[in-house]
Amino acid sequence: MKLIITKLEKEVLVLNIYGKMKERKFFITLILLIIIIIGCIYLLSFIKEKINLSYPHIFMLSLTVLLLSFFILLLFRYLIILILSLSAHFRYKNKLPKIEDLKTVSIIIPVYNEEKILATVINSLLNLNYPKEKYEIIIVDDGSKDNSYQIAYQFLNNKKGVKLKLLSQTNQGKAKALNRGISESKGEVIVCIDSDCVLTKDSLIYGIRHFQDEKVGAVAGNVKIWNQDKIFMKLQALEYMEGLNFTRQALSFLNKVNIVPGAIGFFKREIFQKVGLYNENIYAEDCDLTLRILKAGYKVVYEPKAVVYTEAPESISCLFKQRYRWTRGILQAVRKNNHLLYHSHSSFSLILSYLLLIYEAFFWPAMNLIAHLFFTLLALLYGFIPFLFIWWFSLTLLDFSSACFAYVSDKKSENNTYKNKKIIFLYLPFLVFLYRLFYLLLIDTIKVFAFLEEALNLEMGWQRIRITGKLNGYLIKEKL
Amino acid sequence: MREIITILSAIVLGVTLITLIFSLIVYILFRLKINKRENLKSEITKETEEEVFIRYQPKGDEKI
Repeated sequence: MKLIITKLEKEVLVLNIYGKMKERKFFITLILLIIIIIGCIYLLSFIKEKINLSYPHIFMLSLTVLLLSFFILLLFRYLIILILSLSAHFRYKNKLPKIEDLKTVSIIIPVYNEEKILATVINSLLNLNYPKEKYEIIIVDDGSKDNSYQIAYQFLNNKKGVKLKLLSQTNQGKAKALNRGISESKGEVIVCIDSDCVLTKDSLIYGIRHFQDEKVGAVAGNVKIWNQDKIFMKLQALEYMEGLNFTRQALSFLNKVNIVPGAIGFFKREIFQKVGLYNENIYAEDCDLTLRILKAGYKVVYEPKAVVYTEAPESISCLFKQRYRWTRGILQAVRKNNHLLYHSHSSFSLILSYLLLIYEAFFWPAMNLIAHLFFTLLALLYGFIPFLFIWWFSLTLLDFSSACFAYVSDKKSENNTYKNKKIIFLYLPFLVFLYRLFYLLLIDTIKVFAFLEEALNLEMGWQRIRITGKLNGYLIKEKL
Repeated sequence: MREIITILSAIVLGVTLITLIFSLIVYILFRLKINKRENLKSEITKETEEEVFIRYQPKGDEKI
């Protein structure tokens, strides 16, 4: 007897199988949880009988063991990142392709109320060291209520010979604006940048050169802070250098960079045909897209010389909004792409990159916060102050060593014009001291709050950061 | 040496406490702001579809 299955029946069958798999996964997790809880209760009663300790003491002992194990995990994390980053540093080549081999590029900028700096951003794009006939600029005005559209309009007939397209739509969000720009673009490589970022002259040519390798799907650029006039912004610059770019460089050695930043990302055109456009329902659309590219088997690398300058939030509330949005967005992307862990084609390096994302977004901040609360409690209740000091001091030492290496490694992205936009080496110990003491604790607390809200599925709006317009200083420096 | 460590420990403890309390305050303010915005949104869309339907019903001999 012939078995004929229609397309609809096939879909129903797949859905049933998927549903059963989900059910099975849920039950396995539930059984595992019950086993762990029973095990813990048994272990507790066993310890109580054998060592004769009270429950608060057992609790403190187990928390200390837990924190110690997390600290060892953190040591491993630093060590792996350091070794990988060092390897990437020595593997780095400065070679540029011939002009005739350069690919055509479409630069897409989604714009919403950016009248303060839009002219500077467009000027920086018109003056790139790249053949003018080989790139186009697409500005998508996402329903700005200020003069952004009019400012962009003035550049339509620029004398630089660069093709500029100006699109307009009602306010629909960044992802939709980017998708519109991509669908209207013609370049072989698509570069997506934020509207509050200026590119240095050589960034495009350095980013594009990686696409000589057919397997490279995306390239992450080097994001730097422009407004470093206060210590608070210098601390953010240190975080970009030591926390974000340093990790990206390490993962680049494995060709598995897990976030191509929205500030500057280079993508091969065929990527969007294979993995789809930006997801419009996720706040970290850049992270989601990167994970999909990695899953499709492409290489994602980091280019330290593709430098873009951006404005850092100048107040704590603005920083809070920014990091809250980033963390919730990353958690959404991680949850959406969790099949990466079970996917049969996922390599060890891909799983490592994915796990690192979860570790940085949630596990480590939670552990750091628990450690601080626990040691503070110990200090206040029992006067054990040295525990908190030892915790802070060992982490500061780790930060200092990686900050020194990140500093040296970042030298290759140096530009003589912007020497004042660089952290001075002598300040580094002082900055690292404050960085661990105050700044990272604040950031970790924000991340934990964001995680809790994401777990509870609380309402979240797009938190816009106020632009000061300090990036306009770029015009004066570059003498455009 | 012990004295230096004690002083540093006290600084770390103080700053940690301040940062934790400060983060909590900033978070509460942030949440309150979002809640306020949500309330405003719900006030704007308070009128249900049924109410709108009733409001736009033709009165008397008014033609649609």
